[in-house]
Amino acid sequence: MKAVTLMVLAVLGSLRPAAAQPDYAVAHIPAALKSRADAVVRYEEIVVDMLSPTNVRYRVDRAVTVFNPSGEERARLVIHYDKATAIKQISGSVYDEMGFQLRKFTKRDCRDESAVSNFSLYEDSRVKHFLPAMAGYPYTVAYSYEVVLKQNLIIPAWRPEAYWDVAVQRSQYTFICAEADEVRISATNYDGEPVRRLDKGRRALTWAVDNLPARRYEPYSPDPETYKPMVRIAPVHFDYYKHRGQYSNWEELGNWMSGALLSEGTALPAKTVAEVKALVGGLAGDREKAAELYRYMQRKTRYVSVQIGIGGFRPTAAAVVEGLGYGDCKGLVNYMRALLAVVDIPSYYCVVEAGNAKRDIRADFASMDQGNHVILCVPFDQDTVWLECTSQRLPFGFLGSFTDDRTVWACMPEGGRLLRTPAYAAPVSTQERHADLQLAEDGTLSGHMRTIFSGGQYDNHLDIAESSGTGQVKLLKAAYDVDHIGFEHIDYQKQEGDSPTLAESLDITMPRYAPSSGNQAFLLPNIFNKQFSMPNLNNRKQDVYVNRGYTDEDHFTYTLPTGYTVVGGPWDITLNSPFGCYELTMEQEGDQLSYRRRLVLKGGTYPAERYAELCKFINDVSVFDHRKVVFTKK
Amino acid sequence: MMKTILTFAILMLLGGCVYSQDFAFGSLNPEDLKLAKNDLDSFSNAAVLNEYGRAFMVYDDTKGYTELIVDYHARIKVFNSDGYRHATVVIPAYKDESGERVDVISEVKAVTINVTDGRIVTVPLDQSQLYKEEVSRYRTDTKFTFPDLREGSIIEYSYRLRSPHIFNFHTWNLQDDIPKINSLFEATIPGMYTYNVTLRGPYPLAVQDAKLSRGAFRIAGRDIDCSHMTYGMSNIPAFVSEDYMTAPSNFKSAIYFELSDVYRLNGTNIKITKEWKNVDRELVSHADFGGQMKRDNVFKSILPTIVTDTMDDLGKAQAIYRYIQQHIRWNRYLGKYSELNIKNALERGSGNIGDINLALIAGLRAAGLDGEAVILSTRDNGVVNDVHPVLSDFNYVVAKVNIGDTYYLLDASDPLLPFGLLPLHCINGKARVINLKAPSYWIVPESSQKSTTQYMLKAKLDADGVLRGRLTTNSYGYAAWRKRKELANYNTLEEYIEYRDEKLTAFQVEAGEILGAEELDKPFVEHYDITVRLYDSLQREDLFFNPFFINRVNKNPFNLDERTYPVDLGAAMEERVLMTIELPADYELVSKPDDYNLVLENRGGRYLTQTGVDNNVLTFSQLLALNHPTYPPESYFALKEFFSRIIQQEKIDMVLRKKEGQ
Repeated sequence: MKAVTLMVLAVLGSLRPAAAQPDYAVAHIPAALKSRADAVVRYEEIVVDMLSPTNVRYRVDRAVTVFNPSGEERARLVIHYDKATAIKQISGSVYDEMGFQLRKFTKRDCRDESAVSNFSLYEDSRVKHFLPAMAGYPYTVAYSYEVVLKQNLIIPAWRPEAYWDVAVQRSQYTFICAEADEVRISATNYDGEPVRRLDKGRRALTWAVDNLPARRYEPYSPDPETYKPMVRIAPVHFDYYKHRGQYSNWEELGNWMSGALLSEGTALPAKTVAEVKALVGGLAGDREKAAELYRYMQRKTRYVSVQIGIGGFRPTAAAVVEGLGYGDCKGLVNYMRALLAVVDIPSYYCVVEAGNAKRDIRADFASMDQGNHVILCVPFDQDTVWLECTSQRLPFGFLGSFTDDRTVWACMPEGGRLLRTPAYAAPVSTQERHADLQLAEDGTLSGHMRTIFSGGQYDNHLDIAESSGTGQVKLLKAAYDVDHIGFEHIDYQKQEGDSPTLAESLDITMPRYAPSSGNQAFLLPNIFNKQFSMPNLNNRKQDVYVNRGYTDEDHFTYTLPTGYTVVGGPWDITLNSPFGCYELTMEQEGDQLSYRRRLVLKGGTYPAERYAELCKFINDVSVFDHRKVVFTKK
Repeated sequence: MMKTILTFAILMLLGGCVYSQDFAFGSLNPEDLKLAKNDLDSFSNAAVLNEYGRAFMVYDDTKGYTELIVDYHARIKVFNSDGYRHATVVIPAYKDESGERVDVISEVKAVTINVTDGRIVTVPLDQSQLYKEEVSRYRTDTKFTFPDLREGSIIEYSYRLRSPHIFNFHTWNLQDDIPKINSLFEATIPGMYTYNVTLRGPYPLAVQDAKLSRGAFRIAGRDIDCSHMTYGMSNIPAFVSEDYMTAPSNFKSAIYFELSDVYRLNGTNIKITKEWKNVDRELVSHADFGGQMKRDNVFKSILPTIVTDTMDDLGKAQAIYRYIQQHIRWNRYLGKYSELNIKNALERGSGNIGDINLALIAGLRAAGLDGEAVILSTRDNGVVNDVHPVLSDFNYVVAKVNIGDTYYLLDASDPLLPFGLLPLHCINGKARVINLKAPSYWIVPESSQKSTTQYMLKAKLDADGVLRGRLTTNSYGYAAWRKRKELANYNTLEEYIEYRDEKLTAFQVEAGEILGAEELDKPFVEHYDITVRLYDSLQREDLFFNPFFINRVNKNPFNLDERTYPVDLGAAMEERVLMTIELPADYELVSKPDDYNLVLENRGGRYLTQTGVDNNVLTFSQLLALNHPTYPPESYFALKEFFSRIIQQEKIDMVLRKKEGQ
């Protein structure tokens, strides 16, 4: 096999630079690439050679010049591996600013460590890594390595611009397979066509980018996958941990998934079946039954992640989860699915890309490397309910910001289908706060405050609600971070149902919150919900993207000591912007001062030119939020 | 830190049979079932009901050395789902460099005990759910989590650890981050080993007992008598970490052992824990310590390129320090010993802490200076034992150079530190100075410079309501070091200034200049031309102006209701603001915050503000100083109140009024 690879590489030799001494002199980096760059990828060549479904050669040659401490990690050699990956070769060198070789390194210099993610109890993933310590900047690290993948379900994608603040002088990616092999390819944000070569029954495709300046992260910008180049490869016929299959779209992949990985493992012990039937026996509708079973699952299980081999894709059998009382997202979803099946309620295992940033499963390209989490979809006649099965405290049917508003891949017995999870739009994602506070002569504020969280904001204070004692007070102090604040009569009420709400009720005191000087007193009426300002960037490049909208309302009534008069009359401010609106009023009536604030921020995408406008809106809000009321005292 | 030395006159002890005092596995007490959340404290989500350990030694004939065996057994109650994390157990096992001497974990047994419908149901751990994670070459973790966990479950487990690492016997952690009702430890130590035993933490032992255990250790066909010690504590509160504290191990209640003597069967005695004079000799002759300090020949050829004859001693020391800072990069490994040896480190341009600072000492000595080594323990490594020399406590070495009547402590591992300033992680109580010729001695390293920042604003409030002027910031000590570290991440000054502009949202930075970026011994000076839009225009009668817009204190850093541990800031700090603002001619100051002078007891801190107007020029000055690197817990509320007053003061505006008839 080795001979074949060498031959192919020799044939494709013209893709590689001349074997002579490479030029790593920093002076030869184009000026435009040095600007605002922590590091520059001088040269990167990745060759993926699919010799067979269980023998995929993956070779990387890379050279990175580091300019400053922030760029250091970009020069680290990192190889993730597991049981299905064999590391063949590692070698590298370090060069100084002039491009002279300082020293070499090999596999022996690498550290080998387990790579179990912090959310897992165990995984079979490991990592080898190495980073030379260099006395000054700039310097260049060049290395090459080769691994053999013993599967072809997941072919490492090409992401030449993987990091912020890193420029790319040259990066290329070549995929080689037999001419007869069927593969599907997705190239996004890539101009032009790959270079194709055909030789002795082998086909090679090469994508390349040159001279990409460093990009910086811009606040309120869209998912980088929507504008950074990426190439993904998905062979039609695949082999993965002794499982074989074929797919060209989500439907077929779903079909395989349902058949190979999901069809078994839903059986439950007879005792559980009986218990489940008894539990929901008295309930009329399927929805009520499902809700009851969801709570049953929450009581009986917890999230513990273990990922080994095919277990990274195949859920643990429901009976095993039942016995252990724990499972990962796949195992818990499968368990929930099994519980629902006992009472003949169908449900779908759904793969989702979870995270606060919303990322869709791509409709136009099916591949197994998309998604990092699993949730359950329960279709009812009138509506569809979505269940997050790894939480002990989310209410039935609530997803939250981890998986809301995105396309997911549902695995049904008849095949895969794309579905969309519900969105919590600005009007329903609300935080409504009412407070009645007494202002004492010494500036102390005390009184009662009630806040209702709903929609996408439902879980803002859920962790506080579920804690107790001094732990709860600590969390409250972090949420309402005012000097010397005290809490009493802490109470939370959860209202479950179609749109769950959490009501928080507190008695608060803030000693000497509003200080006096001479015959004046100063009160910042917006105590807890002040908008931070944001930087206005020159040369905004990306579209403006507001990930999630919301509506906040605050209504504070202050009872003033006698003789207090507001200086300068009432406030009545309205800001309207394409991004939302802001209304603020403050007025005194007798000894009552009423402060109302309403901020609506709308989610959505706007052109880059509007960034300054968003900035102005947010910063204006910030200024008004920090506005003080000045009183004269009699 | 509280430490108690536990001693026993073993020879005086009466003999007797020794029974294990372990509690029966899986058999619950009624109290175990009854215990509810809040019975012990108001915040813990789990509690240890009972914990038992016993440690003893066996001689392994095939391996030819003595091993330690520890049997551990614990019963825990999990009150609610927030306590579920205590149901995941990680047992580390260590390997030494050679890979031969390995800890072995065996006999792991675990059950979950639930009460279901009034019945007690016990679910054992399935051995297939026991995972071994090879974390690195030196460490393998045995991991599991309990099955069928519910709110209110009782979980119980036990295991055996067999370890060739006997130097520290077995540290018994009495205190954990959940409360413990009972913790008992039995140690059986053969008479041929003597350990120094220390109890750390504020709580007294409830059980402390010693017995003679006849012939309990067998070696080379002989039975050796052992001392059998029992330590126990009850109702141990949960350990809660607080902000501004050093390593938790300095405060947590635990029993520590260190081997001091081994008596061989032939009657000879090996002193393991020695007097400092023995340790001195050992370190000075150690090839990777004293051996490196002495290698001034390494510098023979390069020294003339670093220092000149016209330099005085201080100049020479500074030049050598700078040279090492710039020529050997820290590879992120700690250690008091040289790893590569200093010659290799200089050639490769990288090395561990030992390589760097021992090279510095050798260089200082090569230049004829009085250079010594200072071994210490970093802040997160805990403080060192100052009763006996325990070399393993020390994980770091720095240089001390004595010039005339003064000395400087130097760490060349950070290229941005000024001469004589140690990094904060080295400021951690006592450190020991090792001299090649003289006996060693203790010093207490302190930060040689305060963390000081001075802001000077000279500005004019123009008729369009915009404040325009120049802000100069001088930073010293750690404050300067932090800024230089930030600056190092930008390739050009323009990029750095742009970053500062984005960060300082209160102002707009129009242009800037930076001085002292390279000269580490000088202040780091930033000049920025700034504008601040204060008002839309100056049409109004009354203008409210808040002078506290530079580095304002918005939140009280001390917000606890009670404080158990000292507040450790590492270094004293000082922040000064001085503003002169030219007001529009037609406005006058009608009210201003009272001048303020607030002092913390024992000269611990000061807050001072002053406002004045002269010829339409407003001057405002502010000083905030915390003069001590650490404050005892009793001072916590004074600190809290101090910051509370500052926050109140900073809310008060001054009022400018349009002059009559204008």
